[in-house]
Amino acid sequence: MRSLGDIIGGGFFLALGIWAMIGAYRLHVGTIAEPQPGFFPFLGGVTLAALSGILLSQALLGRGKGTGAFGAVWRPIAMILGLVFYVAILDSVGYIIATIVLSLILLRALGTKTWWVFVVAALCITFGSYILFDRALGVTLPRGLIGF
Amino acid sequence: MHLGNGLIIALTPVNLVYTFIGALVGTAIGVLPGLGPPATVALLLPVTYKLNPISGVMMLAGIYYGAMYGGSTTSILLNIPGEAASVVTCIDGYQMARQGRAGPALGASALGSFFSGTISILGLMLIAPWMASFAIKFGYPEYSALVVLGLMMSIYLSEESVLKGLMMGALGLLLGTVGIDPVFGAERFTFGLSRLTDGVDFIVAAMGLFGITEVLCNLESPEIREVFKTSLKKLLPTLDDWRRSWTSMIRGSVIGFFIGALPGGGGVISSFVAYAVEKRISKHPERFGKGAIEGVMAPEAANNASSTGSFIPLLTLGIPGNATTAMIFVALMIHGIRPGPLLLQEHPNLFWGVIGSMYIGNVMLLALNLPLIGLWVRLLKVPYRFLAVIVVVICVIGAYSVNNSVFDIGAMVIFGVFGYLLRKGNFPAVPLILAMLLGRILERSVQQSLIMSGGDVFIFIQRPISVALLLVAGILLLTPAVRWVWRQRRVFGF
Repeated sequence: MRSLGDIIGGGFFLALGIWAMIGAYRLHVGTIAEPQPGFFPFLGGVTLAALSGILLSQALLGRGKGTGAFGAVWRPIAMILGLVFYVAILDSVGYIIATIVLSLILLRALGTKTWWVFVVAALCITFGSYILFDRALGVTLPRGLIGF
Repeated sequence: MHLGNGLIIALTPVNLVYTFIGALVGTAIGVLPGLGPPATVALLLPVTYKLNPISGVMMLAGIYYGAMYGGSTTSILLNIPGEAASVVTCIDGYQMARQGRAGPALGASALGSFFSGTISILGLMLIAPWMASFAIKFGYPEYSALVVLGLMMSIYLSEESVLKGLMMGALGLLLGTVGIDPVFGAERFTFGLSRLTDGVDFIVAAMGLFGITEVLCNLESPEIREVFKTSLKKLLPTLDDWRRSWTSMIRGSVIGFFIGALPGGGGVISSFVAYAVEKRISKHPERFGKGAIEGVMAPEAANNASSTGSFIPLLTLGIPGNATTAMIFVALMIHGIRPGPLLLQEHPNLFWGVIGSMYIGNVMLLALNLPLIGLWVRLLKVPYRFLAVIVVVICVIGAYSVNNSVFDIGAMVIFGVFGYLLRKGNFPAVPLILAMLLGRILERSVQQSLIMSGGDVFIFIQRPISVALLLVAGILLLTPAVRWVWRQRRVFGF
């Protein structure tokens, strides 16, 4: 049975390995007795490329386990998009606002229907974590529009 | 300096508090599916910056062995392993719960873990000084060979194919080279980003690969929340139960301890092997799978013993064997403590203090896991999405706090997505993270060896210990290759 995951994975890592080999070559590889900066990266790259080649050829020949099935994949995607958005706005609006927004969006996207439940939860999570980490444990979180 | 001093150190109020926090957090993450010891230790690493290293390691260690206690709760009650190391416990544990015997199953698991925890700490205490004195004689060539062997073993023992494990190892080595080259100072793969001159941050990568990835995977599966409505009044196994299972407890502990001490061997393998051994030597193997108490006792004892055993390579050789001890390794480095054979000599307070705290931690965990079971079960009723958001927020804080930079949060998310894809493709993440950490160390160590030998690469083969280690690594590498060639013999024409 053809394993799509192995084909994609093998192909991707093969390309990555070759790219690393080229990059390492530019840094000068040297020899095992006198390694230059590119030596270890080259070693890593060539190993990765060779092994990926084997994986890819095996996968194309049809040998391999199946790929993991995708379940409700929109949920992880929602999480990822939420996090990307979060990273984009964090420095400008500060921890408190950003985290409230993130929690609201995520909890709603992931299924909480009753609006006051996720508002309360978002506030609790945000302020709870803020008090615990910023105040009690001394981790400085980004200040933002509110000023704390 | 010995256990007595260690216990005194562990019994100070500050250390008691941190050991307790570790045990508590450990139990919680053990019970809750979706967050494991590697990610939690990574997350709480920044918290330990402000602490003295001894208290910090006590807490982190507590998280690790605490999670082994907690993992069995969901396995028995819900047929859902809280930890990968508790998967095997589901088999007989859940059956026991269905027969109305959840209480004795939980009790056996906690008591078995306590016993195995205690004797494996004893083992650690006795073996570590001996191993450290042996390893002190290691020079750079021996150490390089040891790192290679450690990586090979963790690849060989990983659940996925060795080919994919080796690929992940190679990738990890590559990622480890990002940054400034240790010898020449050249910039490697930094793309002009100043953030990358120090390399890919290991803690951030671990939080992504083990924290975010786990959350993403869990979000995909539908929510199954049917907590077992069983009366948990009788928590102690009966005399009959004990009669059947006390030898399993001992066997599980020994198996777990030695497998745990191997790099790459951990709770998962130990529990599987312990279960298989019990089934093999049992006079009534047909009872397994139908609620045999030995099937709960052995794996639970094994996974606990393995978590303690995995401290051996970390504390005596300076080589972490799994993701969790790799994080503790990083914690030690951050505090300026070089893990290695000299650790016992240079920091006896740390070593004996942590051992003392392990004994105390195990006692605390017994108290946390037996009477307070009801509390943990209630925790499971929270819908996963709330836990997911909490975990993600904590991950975000953790990533940010490493360097006060939002870049690290982004890096963590990227690792998280990458890890999610790796899971889908059945690529193991542990060799990746170990190779990222050990790759850099290996490079430096090899460079030092070559400096020692004046550029003679044969130094690795000239010294007996390093030859022996490399030979074993080579055998581990070649065995799957030989098997593969043998299977293709028709293709090759023989």
